[in-house]
Amino acid sequence: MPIEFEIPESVKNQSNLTEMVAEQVIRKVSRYFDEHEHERPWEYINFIWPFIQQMEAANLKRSLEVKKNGHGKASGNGQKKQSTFQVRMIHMIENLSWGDAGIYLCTPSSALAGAAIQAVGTPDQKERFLDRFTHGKPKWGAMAMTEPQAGSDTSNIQTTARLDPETNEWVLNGEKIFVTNGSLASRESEGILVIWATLDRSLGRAGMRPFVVEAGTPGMTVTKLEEKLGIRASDTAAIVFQDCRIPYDNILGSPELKKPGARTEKGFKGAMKTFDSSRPWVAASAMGIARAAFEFTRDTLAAQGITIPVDAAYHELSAIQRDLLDMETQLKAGWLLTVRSAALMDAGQPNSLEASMAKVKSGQVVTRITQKCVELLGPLGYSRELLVEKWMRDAKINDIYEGTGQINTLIVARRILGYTRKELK
Amino acid sequence: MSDIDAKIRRMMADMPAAFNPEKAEGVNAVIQYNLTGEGGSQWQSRIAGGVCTVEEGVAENPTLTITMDANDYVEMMAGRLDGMQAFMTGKIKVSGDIMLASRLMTFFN
Repeated sequence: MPIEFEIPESVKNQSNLTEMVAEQVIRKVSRYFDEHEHERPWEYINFIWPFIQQMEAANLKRSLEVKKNGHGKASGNGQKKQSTFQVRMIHMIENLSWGDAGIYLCTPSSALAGAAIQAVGTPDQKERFLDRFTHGKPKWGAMAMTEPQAGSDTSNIQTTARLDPETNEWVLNGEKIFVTNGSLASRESEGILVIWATLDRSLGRAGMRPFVVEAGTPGMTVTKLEEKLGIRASDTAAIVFQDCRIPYDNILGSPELKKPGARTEKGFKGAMKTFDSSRPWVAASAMGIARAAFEFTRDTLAAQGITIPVDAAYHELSAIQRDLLDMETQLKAGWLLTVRSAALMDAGQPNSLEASMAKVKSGQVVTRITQKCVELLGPLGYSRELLVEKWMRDAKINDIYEGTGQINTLIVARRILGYTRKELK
Repeated sequence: MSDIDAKIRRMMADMPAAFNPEKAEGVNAVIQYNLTGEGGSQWQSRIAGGVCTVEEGVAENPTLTITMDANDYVEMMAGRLDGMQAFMTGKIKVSGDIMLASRLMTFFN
């Protein structure tokens, strides 16, 4: 069977739109929002919202259909029509991030909250929480996992969820930090947050569950807006939960707890599937930044007469030409890994390993390329009159959020070598 | 073929009358329509001071340029092709003031 590297027509057409938006709406305000952290890019938000609504509606409809019928929508010849959702998403994300990664993160959508709900939510929960993204004013979804004492060591989270049997509500207590779109989702729109809390700290990861909290729920307070190195247009917030009460049905997955030593409960594993979707998205964002820096550098050098002769012998290349070739190779490699991880998901095949690979690779690629570009461009690269220095600052987060580079490398190693978490730390 | 051309000419002629100045308050723009393919033609539309004019040809410094297949344009104006779908699937290519493009349909009855 031949390997197809061509972008499907439908994906390409949709891509044209996001390329236009990136160039003509986002780039124009990129520097402004970098210098005015915590201001919102409303022009971009209001422009993109109608398109997002359509995508959310189509996605919700399809996921509810699959549940009802037990199989996907049949095409003419009776075969299940393959989804292109994930592949389209990563093209869209890559294009928008090429514009500005921080502004892309301000896109009103169910985002990671939606991914979690799609991964383990019941049809009723999907309807209840995701329908809002198909109409009305712009809204945001956010995921809250990290705490002051728990980052990569997720099993150390201390936010608790206690069941109040009299009111049949979960009572949440704890503090979450570095929540992307935390303020937008919790108080600036009628959005939702998915927060990870523990039902029983003694059980470690097995006791963790995701809970949905709707905007405006009493007991949920934004306490801080983070001041950052890069992606400054993005809303990053700390949120405190104090006796925050949510309906029983807001838990994602089953609240049943397994005894310690028993295999991790299916509900928890299912929820971790969220990351199989979101890691490729983050990788795509990184690749967009990388491409922005690379293209600008290549074009600027070309204007100076420095081009890349693809058929020259290695010893004939100058140092700069070798650097450019290396960057182009890394760019393609990172992108192909990302596309593959998304395509596997669309085909309904497991993609955890590939998602982590894409995340690791893209984090490395974008930091290397953007730093190299600043170096090659010298004073131009260092000056704030151009966006290159900003891309270098924006790049770094991709090594950090959504599972650090180190953690994802561990995941890849375990998968390839067949080790469990306990065996390889 | 010349059928499409005739339809476009009629639609362009009707445009000023369908323009609703209240919906386009404060708008001052030159819009270039490049309708391609069979039956295609080029048109420039001027919106200023609550008035919309249309004439054939290429504008010098358009605020917004819309490029699409002539037949798609006819289908869209006749309501048989959804404008947003067309936008999302790349049937409409826009350069210049993209925000104006998204509001354009609202200026006309």
